[in-house]
Amino acid sequence: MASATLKGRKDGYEVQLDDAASFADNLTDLGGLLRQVHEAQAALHEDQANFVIVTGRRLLTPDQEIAVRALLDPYPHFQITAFKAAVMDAHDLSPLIRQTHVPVAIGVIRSGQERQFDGDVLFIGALHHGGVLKARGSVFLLGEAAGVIHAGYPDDAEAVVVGDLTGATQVRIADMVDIVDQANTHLTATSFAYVNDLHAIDYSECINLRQMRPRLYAQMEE
Amino acid sequence: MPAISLVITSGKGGVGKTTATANIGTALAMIGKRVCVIDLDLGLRNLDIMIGLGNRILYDIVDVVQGRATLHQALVKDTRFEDRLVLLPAAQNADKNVLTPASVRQIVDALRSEFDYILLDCPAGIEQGFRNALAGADGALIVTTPELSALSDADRVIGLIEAYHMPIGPRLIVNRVQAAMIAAGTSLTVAAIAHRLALPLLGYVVDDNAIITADNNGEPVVFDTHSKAGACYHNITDRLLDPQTPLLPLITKQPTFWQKLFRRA
Ligand SMILES: Nc1ncnc2c1ncn2[C@@H]1O[C@H](COP(=O)(O)OP(=O)(O)OP(=O)(O)O)[C@@H](O)[C@H]1O
Ligand SMILES: [Mg+2]
Repeated sequence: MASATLKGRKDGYEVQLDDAASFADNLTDLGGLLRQVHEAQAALHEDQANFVIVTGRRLLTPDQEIAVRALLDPYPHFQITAFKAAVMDAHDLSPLIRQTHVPVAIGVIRSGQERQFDGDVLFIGALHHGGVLKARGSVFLLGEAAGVIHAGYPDDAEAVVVGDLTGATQVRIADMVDIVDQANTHLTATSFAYVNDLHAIDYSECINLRQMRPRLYAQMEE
Repeated sequence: MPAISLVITSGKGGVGKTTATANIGTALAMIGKRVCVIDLDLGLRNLDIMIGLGNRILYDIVDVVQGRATLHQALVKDTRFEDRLVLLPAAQNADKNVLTPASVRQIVDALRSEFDYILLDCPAGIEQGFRNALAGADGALIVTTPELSALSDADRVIGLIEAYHMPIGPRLIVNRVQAAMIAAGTSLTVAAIAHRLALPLLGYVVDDNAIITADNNGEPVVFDTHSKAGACYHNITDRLLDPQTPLLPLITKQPTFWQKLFRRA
């Protein structure tokens, strides 16, 4: 069986290169396919054709992509619109994971202890009085929080703190501090903290989070 | 089996570390265990007095470290228990820095083969003396009283201890529990304190004047078979040996109408 197979698409063709075959075979078979397409198109008095090259679990190196493109040189009206693989380079993947994935931290932060996170964090456990939880991004809390929560450290005022903050000592976002006091009537178990237009820490109900921080919401949806 | 060494610590001063060391040590000896208690509170030694061995000290731990006495010369034996209970006293007048974590560890290791338990009475605070005591320990007993200030210090100390990754996890002793205050809602319950500190509860000790009487008599309260505090320490000791032992129930009955009436009068 040929290691390159052709499929028609609305906007052109999709060529699947069998990842179990050798790349050399892929090239040979793809060359054959292109010739056939060229002949078929000529019969129909058409010369334009777009190709998406699908490589399955084989990730092409830049050199391999060049080799594939070179096969199209004899047909100036053919064009590759995309290379698609089912796999990704680990190096490219990790920043993507960091961007879209909220790490979960479980434990107890005790008096005098400080835990820092590089992006957003979902913290499950207990933040004791005198303990500090710091994140560059937003903080999502599940559990009792009696210490200091610092989101958006040091300067991201878009960050929010979600969770029951009624027992917390302080909520900090970027360079702002709010001393949580028991008399704070805006604060409930279902509110979240954010920085408002006047550059002050304010509280709103969780149901408003989507509308107030759409970017955060989109990220969670991904 | 070589001895298990436990440090008794609190962070805050005066919450009952030394009393706990004396009583748990004595209670263990009463049920046949071989116990060595070590006073690491240099300059402010009083474990010897609480345990009732104050007048028999010849040498102390600093004499041992500085080579003026051998370890065995410095050990004070308690004849009440056929020498099963032994004290290594602290020095009264010594530079605080003569003890190091390494020297304490060395002493503890030298004693392991001869005892079942080694208890280290830790000084208050989180400085040198605290680090010395932790270095010799396989596990920690955290003593706190029910006030928030003591809880905060205990929490700080637990965090520091966790970083040592001792083979035995820390456990909690809540001291000076007042049933009447708990009943009146003016004090946290023992369970609430353990929850707040996120630590397994070893036991509690009620606030009891019998402790002060015992201190004055040089006889730990565990000798007093009628005292509530003594019963609490026996329960703690039993739970130390067998974690399945149930916690002694604390009676927190609301005062009756007549009791209230007479108390007000
Ligand atoms: N359960 C109790 N009921 C009544 N008094 C108590 C109780 N526990 C301890 N005390 C008293 O509290 C005082 C302090 O106790 P202790 O010396 O054991 O504390 P400590 O933590 O060792 O202090 P330090 O930090 O100074 O070493 C003593 O006078 C003791 O008698
Ligand atoms: Mg003491």
